[in-house]
Amino acid sequence: MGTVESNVGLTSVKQKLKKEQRQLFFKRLISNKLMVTGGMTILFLMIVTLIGPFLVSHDPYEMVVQDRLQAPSAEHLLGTDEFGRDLLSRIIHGSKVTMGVGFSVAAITSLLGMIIGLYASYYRFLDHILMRICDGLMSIPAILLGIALMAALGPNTKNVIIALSIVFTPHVARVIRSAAIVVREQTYIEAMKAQGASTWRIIWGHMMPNTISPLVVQATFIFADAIITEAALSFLGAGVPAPDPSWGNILYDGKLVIFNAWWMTVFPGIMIVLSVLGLNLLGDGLRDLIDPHTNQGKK
Amino acid sequence: MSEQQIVKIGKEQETPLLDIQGLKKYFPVKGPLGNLGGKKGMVKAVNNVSFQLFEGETYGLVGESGCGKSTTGRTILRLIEPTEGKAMYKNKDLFQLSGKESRKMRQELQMVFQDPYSSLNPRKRIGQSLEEPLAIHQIGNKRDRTDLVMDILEKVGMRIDHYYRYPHELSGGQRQRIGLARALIVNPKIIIADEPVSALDVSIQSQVINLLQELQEEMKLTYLFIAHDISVVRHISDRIGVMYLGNLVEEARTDELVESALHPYTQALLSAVPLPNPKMKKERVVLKGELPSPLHPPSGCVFHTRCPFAMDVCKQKVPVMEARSKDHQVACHLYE
Amino acid sequence: MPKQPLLEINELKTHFHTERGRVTAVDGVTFHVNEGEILGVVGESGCGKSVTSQSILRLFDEKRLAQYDGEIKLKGTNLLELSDEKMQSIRGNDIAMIFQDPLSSLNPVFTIGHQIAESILLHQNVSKKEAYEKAVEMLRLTGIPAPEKRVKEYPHELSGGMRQRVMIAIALSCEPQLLIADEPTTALDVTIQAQILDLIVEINKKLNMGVIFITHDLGVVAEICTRVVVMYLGQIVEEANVVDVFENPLHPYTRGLMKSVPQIDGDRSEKLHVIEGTVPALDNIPKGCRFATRCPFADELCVEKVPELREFKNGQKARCWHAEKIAEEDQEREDQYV
Repeated sequence: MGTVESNVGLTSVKQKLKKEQRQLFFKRLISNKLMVTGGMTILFLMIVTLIGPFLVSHDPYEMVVQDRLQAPSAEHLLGTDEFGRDLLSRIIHGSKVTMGVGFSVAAITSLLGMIIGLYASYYRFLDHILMRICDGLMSIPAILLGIALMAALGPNTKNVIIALSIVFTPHVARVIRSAAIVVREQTYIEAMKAQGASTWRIIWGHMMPNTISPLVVQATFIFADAIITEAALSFLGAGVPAPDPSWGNILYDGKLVIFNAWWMTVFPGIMIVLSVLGLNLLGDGLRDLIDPHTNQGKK
Repeated sequence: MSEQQIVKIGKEQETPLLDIQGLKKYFPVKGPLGNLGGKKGMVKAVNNVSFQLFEGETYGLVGESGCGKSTTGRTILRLIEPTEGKAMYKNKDLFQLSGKESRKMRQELQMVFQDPYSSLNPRKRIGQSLEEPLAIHQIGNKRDRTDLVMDILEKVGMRIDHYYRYPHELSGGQRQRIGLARALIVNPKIIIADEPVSALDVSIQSQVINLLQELQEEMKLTYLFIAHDISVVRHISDRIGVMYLGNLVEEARTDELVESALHPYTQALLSAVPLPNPKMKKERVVLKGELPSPLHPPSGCVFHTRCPFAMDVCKQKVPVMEARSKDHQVACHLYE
Repeated sequence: MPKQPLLEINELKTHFHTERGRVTAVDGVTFHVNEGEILGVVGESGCGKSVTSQSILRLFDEKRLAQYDGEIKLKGTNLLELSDEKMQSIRGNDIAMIFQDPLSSLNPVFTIGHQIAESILLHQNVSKKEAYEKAVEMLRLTGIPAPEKRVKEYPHELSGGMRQRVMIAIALSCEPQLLIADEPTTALDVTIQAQILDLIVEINKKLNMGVIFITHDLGVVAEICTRVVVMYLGQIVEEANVVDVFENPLHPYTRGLMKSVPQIDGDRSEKLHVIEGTVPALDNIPKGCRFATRCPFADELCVEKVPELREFKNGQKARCWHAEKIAEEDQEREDQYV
């Protein structure tokens, strides 16, 4: 068999196949309008987070007392807070904190949840121990657990991330576990055992890739949940400490002057709604995309 | 064919390649409270089954669902741990091997599964799935492996460009060929095929059966062929064992078994097969009732509740497997 | 005057809208079922046999998924022109269906008596008590021992064969004129299959109802059917009396199918006959004869032009350009053997 020749043939076949698959995937992708909306919103917020701080002219920490509580104007597009700090600048810098917390929490919980979920699904004795711990954690309301953990750890951004990761890891672990249990029962896992594959290879080489799709969906929802919970914690004064801006503690500041300065509540509120809505739309869309039962028109 | 048969008969005087002795597999059944309720009983999925595989032959294991034929196959590979028994292969008891030795041994004993849809990882390209066994058993480097995969794809009648396909792009028959290729790529001695064609369409089924036979000759394979369809088993097997409710009830050379079945269950099984000949309305041995629950198997002979020839002794005494003629054993009180 | 058939299907086409465009799963199927007759519909997966049967009951979502063309006449009424409500009253009442998997067709949280009674109450104006009595009677009819006890049991307490009997009991509870059986014995063991086949034949004789029996197993067809329709890739390729189909198959596909099944009394030393290749995809249908890609007799004519379903002696029909020629050659070969 001409290996060189066959390899050339293979490359072109591979490229053609990839192109076909890409086209079909793209077609499905854009056919889901809500998901595209959600994705665009998140993309916009990401851009704001990453390059926004370079575009705003005001320092988010600079207090100008004579400018306090000014309504939106040409100088201060979204107005100022009770210390005279520029609200637009604070919201944009705050998005770095809030989105950063959300993203970090989603990433950490995905990793931990995946490890816990996979091993719990594979070893029955681990399942009992790990899932009871998860049940215990999930039985405490997220905010309450978050406040308790923040009280124990002390208020700073890093600790917010740690606390929220502890709060949300059980949610991811549960999802991964139930997905992995379905995979574990598939014949190809048995076939791998029959081949003499090691446990490591079965778990990470075969079960893990088949749980990625539900993980991505779950991570998107955790991202949204983390944003809300961080805002709630900061709003309650147990989150990101002042003077660092986050959407939550801007809201907290605005609470005191809600009747004099509506902009301090409305604008950070809009940002939270936008990001959470965007992430949820994206998550729903991703779920439809990977779940063959909801998107296939044919039998 | 006849020459081949003579060779096989000659070989039977030698030691068998795989010798299963007194294999038992009992599954504990938990009470309604799970672990708290304690054990409710034992399901005797496989009960004292013994048979031999000789080099180059195909041994067919036939029986209806729940008879324990698949459990038998899986136990030999220790995908399910046996309760009792021995499986002698090359002077070693497969059931006594350590985890590591057992994994290594799997290079020589491979399995082909029934369901061509779930037996391949949907996230992996065909090439990756086929290279995996080579990586597990550390055969060759990356380049050698790709060449080996190409060779095996050709052998099972696939094109090399299937290397980059995903399982969902293949038909059932093609996937079953890949399943076969995955088992064959490590050059095994014995293939345990668990209902390898029963999920396939009629015209595809014959392609795969022929392929199995061609590969057996070419690669000097020994098959344990597990299936419920006695016509298929008869076509491919040299010897057949019939199982009922965890027990091996009859074993004989294929032609002898089909032409002069001794056990009433084998007779019923053979007569229940619908013949594709509308003019031939044959007399059926219709079995009464249904398969008894394996949790509470009947006393004595497990078949006596449905047997048209049941006698008093059948309810009390368990019949033993005894040779009635050369290469024909049956476990039935009628012939004692 | 020839008797009007019970069910008459004319040029039925079922189209599906999919991501990759519109596909036609059933393409111009014409056949009929008489009263008291068991018609076998044979073919491999993807040949459209199940889609045909589901189209008769209009089970596909017509708003988004499927579109039907042609005629399906039940005693002269075209089912495709009926309103949804009218169709609803036909399903289960005039036409009943049983499926391959009896476990997923039964609701696990209700007793079987409840489920049979429910379908009786749905279509007949009887009291609950009468419906329950009828349920017991139906179970007795299907040969279930101790039906008074069984009505109180749940589906999981029954074996596969018993569940299929329950499904048949539900199907028969409203005395349908037509029973569609979609691979009802495929999931069952041979000894149980034999029992169920006997039951279907017995009921067919007793109630004089028409039966469409869909299967891939030619042995089953030979055993119970009176007439056979063979389907390939959405079309009928052969239609004949059961004896003619088995003794004198005209279409190469029918012949190939018969030869490729291992027989319990066949010659073991011979290799099995093989139909080369696989069934083409529905969005990639050959231009000429649909079987040409796999047919050993195919020539240019077959590749270029679509053959019609032609009628031969005894009302046997086949969709093949070379049916006569192949039959002749076959005859010669047989003569040589003798």
